[in-house]
Amino acid sequence: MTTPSPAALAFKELRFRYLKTGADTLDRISLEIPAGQVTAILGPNGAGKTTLLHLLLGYLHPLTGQILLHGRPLKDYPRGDRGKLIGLVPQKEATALHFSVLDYVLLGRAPYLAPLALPSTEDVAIAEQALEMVGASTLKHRLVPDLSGGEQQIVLAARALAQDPDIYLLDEPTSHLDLSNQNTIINIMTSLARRGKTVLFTTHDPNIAAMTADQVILMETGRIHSFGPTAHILTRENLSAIYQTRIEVKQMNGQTIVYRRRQG
Amino acid sequence: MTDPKTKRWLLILGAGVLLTLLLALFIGRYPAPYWLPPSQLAEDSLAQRLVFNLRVPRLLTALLLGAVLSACGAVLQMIFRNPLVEPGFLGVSQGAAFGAALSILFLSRSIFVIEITATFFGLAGLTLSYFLSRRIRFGGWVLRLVLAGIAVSAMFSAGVGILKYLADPLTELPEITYWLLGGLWSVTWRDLLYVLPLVLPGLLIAYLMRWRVNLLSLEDETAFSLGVAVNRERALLLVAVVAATAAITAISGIVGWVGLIIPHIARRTFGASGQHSLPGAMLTGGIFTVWCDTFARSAIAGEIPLGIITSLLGALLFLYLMTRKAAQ
Repeated sequence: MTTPSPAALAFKELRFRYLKTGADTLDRISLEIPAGQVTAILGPNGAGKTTLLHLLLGYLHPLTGQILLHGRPLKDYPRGDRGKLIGLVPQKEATALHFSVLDYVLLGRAPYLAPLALPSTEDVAIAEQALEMVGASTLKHRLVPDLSGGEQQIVLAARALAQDPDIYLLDEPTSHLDLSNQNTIINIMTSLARRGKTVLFTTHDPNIAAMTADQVILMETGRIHSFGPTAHILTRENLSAIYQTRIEVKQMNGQTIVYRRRQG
Repeated sequence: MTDPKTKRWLLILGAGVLLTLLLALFIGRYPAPYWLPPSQLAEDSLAQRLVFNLRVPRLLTALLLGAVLSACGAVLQMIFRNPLVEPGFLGVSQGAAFGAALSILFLSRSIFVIEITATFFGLAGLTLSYFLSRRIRFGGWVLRLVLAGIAVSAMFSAGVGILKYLADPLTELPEITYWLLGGLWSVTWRDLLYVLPLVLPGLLIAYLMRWRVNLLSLEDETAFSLGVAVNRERALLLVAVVAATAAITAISGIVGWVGLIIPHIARRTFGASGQHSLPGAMLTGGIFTVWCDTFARSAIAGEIPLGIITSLLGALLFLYLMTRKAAQ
């Protein structure tokens, strides 16, 4: 390629292993994740999806291999810059403290604040705006531990919106949500991509990937099975192989529906 | 970001500190029980010396003691995401006690040396509790940390027991025993000045990091994603508050429960965010401890050890808050 790569994130020959386990959790995987699009990391439990997310965040370090953020090694970025470029929405977050929702979302402003600075009224306004974007303004004064699992996940997304990074990493963002809240999160992810943000999320649900993603990374234990445009990847053959069960893919009203064939 | 209600509370507490110090200055057992008339202070030179040399340093020490214990408790509770920890539960107090007893017995009875050994073993207690809790193979994080803290505290208590057994019953033993009961009866300006170099930076760092500490209470990967140097900042803050606690413990002895109960009250008043609850806890803890100490030195002709009063009141308040919360 002569022009600069449009990849927001790229990784080459990435190997990773947790200390206690013997086998590689990720075994020499390479990929370029295009900017301004939604990419789903799809695979069964234990495929290494969250591990990959934490590596791309820079929280875990690969055994070998390299991660490039906008063409530059991720580890070369100063901590503060990285916080403005990559945001994480964890699947859930344990907190024994009774933060108010607004205080909690406000923590997303940390990368923009000097180490000992307090959030300004402008930061508060941004946090309130983030809550509005996810339709959770009414939760503002509630306490985080009192929220339902779904509400907590929405609030975690709002915190990432307040952080306003270039790249959003979401870990199973729809796992605790009912259908209407799933839609909220899906709409947030697609509208972020329309605004030029790069969105990368893990899921074990092919239908969420079908509804949301431009590309799918299909993973099976520690390696990438296939990668490409969603429609090319979500096929009966691919999914049946990965989930080791008979899976059917149908087109219905312009939508891809994935379902499991009853056995026997 | 400071809403009017929060501002009002902080003002009330600030005024409370000043009022407390002013009133407590005139409460005591000279010339007669309970009250020294201000007019007498103007004339009586003995009263002046008593107030300046004994009561003022003692009041200031009590104020700082309460502020430090509360700040330390609040920080530990946030960083360990565990509302049930306080310096006394994590091996800090018992470690400091062991260090102090060790110093009295083998090194020196000077406050300066006691302070250093107490600080060293206080930090060692926290470190041990932390690493042991990661090795315990059952229970949630809250339970493991409390269990590890109990075990480490017990080991240090046993160590203190051995030291007491070895101590000379006429000279060293009484000193260790009184020290362990916790109290401020012997505090002088010199003692106070010796501990300030560790106490003031501890309070200052906790105050400056009052919003930052919220980030340190998040899970590691989230805090990391928000650009926080998680381990380094946690270590800095922990060492600052634990060193301050151990240092002031060197002159106060073990004063329990303040660090557990005051942060709870502060969070109820100011919300969980450290931005207001941490300064709120420092002020509340200061006021609480000054009044407890004033009671300790004035209520009866002798002196009631401060640690007994704070433990009694603290435990009662704790039960009250816990049962009320369950009823909600």
